[in-house]
Amino acid sequence: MTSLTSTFAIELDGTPQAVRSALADVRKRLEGSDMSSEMQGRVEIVLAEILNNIVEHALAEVENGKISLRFERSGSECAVRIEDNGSAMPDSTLSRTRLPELETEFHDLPEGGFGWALVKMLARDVRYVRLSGKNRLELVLSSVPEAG
Amino acid sequence: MNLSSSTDAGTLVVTVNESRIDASVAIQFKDRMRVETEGQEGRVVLDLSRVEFIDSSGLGAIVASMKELGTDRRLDLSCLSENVDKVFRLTRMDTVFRIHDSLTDALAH
Repeated sequence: MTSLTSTFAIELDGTPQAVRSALADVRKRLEGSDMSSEMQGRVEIVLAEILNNIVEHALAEVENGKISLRFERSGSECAVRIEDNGSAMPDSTLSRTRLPELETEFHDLPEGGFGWALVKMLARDVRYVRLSGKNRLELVLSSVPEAG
Repeated sequence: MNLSSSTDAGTLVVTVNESRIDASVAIQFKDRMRVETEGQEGRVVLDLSRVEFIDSSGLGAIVASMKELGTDRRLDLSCLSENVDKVFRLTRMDTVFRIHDSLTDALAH
């Protein structure tokens, strides 16, 4: 059992396989803590969506894509900072908070567009900055679920 | 991506023998679903009892598989773990699929 405060950092390549092993690494670290399984699940979904988004978009055209993840838990709150050396996130993505429309014809049902909406639902204080060729995304996960 | 299937009274049950359906396997999942379901008829139940984690790419792959089956063959889901269920509820995809608590329930419907 680890203490209520834990901080770790992970560096990974920008590939789906690297994302998978980074998430396994995070899970292993959290499993040994007193964090609830509900909260561990939320952390994993949020990290997965952000990391996948970086791999699929920011690093899509980048030869040597690198991501760094910093996770800091303090009591019931987890502060996450994720940086990558990819292209900037478009404003259209950042401002998107709504889920894709489900009231459609069968063949128009959405197969994507859920990721960022999930992040916005499960995390708070999501902040994005572009600094000297890097993307930095910061957010907070709280063990008391946000309304909605 | 390991899937297996069996038929129970006209319903094809496809079992996902993996703990994750994520971005790194979403395309393989769709391909394997096509292999398991093609050349057959009737309803399909996707048994997710072994799946502990799904991300939005995995969710999209399940929706794509449902659409490939067309409107004549329903794709139902069964045995969602806490975390998988959460993703379906938050994205409101629980309103698109019929979700059963157990395989017994799924086969009774």
